[in-house]
Amino acid sequence: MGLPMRMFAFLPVALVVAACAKEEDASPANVDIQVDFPSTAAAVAVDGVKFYVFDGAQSCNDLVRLRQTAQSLPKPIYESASLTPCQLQEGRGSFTIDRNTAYAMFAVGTAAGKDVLVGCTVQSGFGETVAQPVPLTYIDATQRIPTTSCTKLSDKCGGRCQ
Amino acid sequence: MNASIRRVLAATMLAASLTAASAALAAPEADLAAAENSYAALDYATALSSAEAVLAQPRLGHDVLTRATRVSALSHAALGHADKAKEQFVLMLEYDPDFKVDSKLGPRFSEPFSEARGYWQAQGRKAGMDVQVVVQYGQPGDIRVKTTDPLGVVKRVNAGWRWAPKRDYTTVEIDPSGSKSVEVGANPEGSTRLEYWVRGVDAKGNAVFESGTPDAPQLTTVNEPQAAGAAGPEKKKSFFTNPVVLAVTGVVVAGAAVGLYFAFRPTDYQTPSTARGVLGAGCGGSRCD
Repeated sequence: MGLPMRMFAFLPVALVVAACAKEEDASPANVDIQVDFPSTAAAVAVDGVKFYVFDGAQSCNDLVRLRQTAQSLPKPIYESASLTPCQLQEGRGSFTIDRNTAYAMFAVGTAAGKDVLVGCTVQSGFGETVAQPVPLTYIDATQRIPTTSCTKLSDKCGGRCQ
Repeated sequence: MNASIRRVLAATMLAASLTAASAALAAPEADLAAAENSYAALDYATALSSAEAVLAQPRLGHDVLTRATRVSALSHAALGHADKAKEQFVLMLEYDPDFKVDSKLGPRFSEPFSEARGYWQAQGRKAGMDVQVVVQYGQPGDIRVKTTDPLGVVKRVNAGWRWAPKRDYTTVEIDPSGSKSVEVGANPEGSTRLEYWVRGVDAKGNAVFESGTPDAPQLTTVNEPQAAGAAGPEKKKSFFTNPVVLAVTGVVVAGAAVGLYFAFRPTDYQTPSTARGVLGAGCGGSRCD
């Protein structure tokens, strides 16, 4: 009577071990790469975001400086179409990465056809599900984000505010 | 008569000079208290001028510097000085990388703070000073100091150490860039407690980073090694220190671990070398709502 009860006590542990040891699916997993706007107001003000992936040997400082001075960027490994922040929020942009390769991930936010925000991060050794975010900051000191009545990006995407 | 007048005058002058000295020491604390009280009373202009009076003074301790910068940043934000508020929030995050603005304060506060946090995220590293002490009984050791100062405000790092009960510190000044070591002499006979402090200071001598102070130092102790075969006081032995029990327990645990591993290990697991990068949108450090 006592022995079966003890076996039941070990059952959850055995199930956890078995679940952890389950054969993994070898298909590529999704790694979330968040383009991080400085604020909700900034996400609302931006019309489009272009996302570029370069070889990790590229310096973020050089990429930002090239963009600030309106010079052409080197050839990227991946270049997205211009995505609105709403499309980004829906996870529309995607591309294939090698987990063990270093990349420079570079993003530019535009409003009314003008560069407003820029951000870059170099990273390698990607985690299982989440990569380092790409933080956007003003491209130069002259930029200002207009005030907005939107408190959430989803309100703008749903046409409930501007 | 003349002698007694002279004694009274001397006592008065001594009292006056002591009062002036204590007032000078108390001034930053008093101004800071005034700034914090004015901020709490929603008098932001007075809070700002009092905080700036504190920040204008040299050789502030880390606590005073951090609190005054906090009041200055929040007062600028409350008064709508977005650029100055962001500038002060950037400094605030250098002094205290874990600082957060209460989300209930509204966009006038949260937006310059989010911009300041965005600035630090772009730096890719947190400011701070890491202090490690490596000492052994009877041997010289060292205090290892690693300063991370992306803003470049730390102009020098001062450190002091003493073996208690000695009262005077041995002080040194080290370069603030990267990792540096401060040599610590071996502990003298009968002393096992090392007291030390390390401060990274800016151009005005304000403590940007601080690990202990001369008045409240950090402590670490060294243990005298037991001589081989020395007959110490007999201690009651625990059941788990019995070598037979330990050996049997070890064999059982190792056997169970090996058994579970072979029973459940995946046979053809392979981590995929490629992944699908999916873009998303963040607002001020967290996923956009």
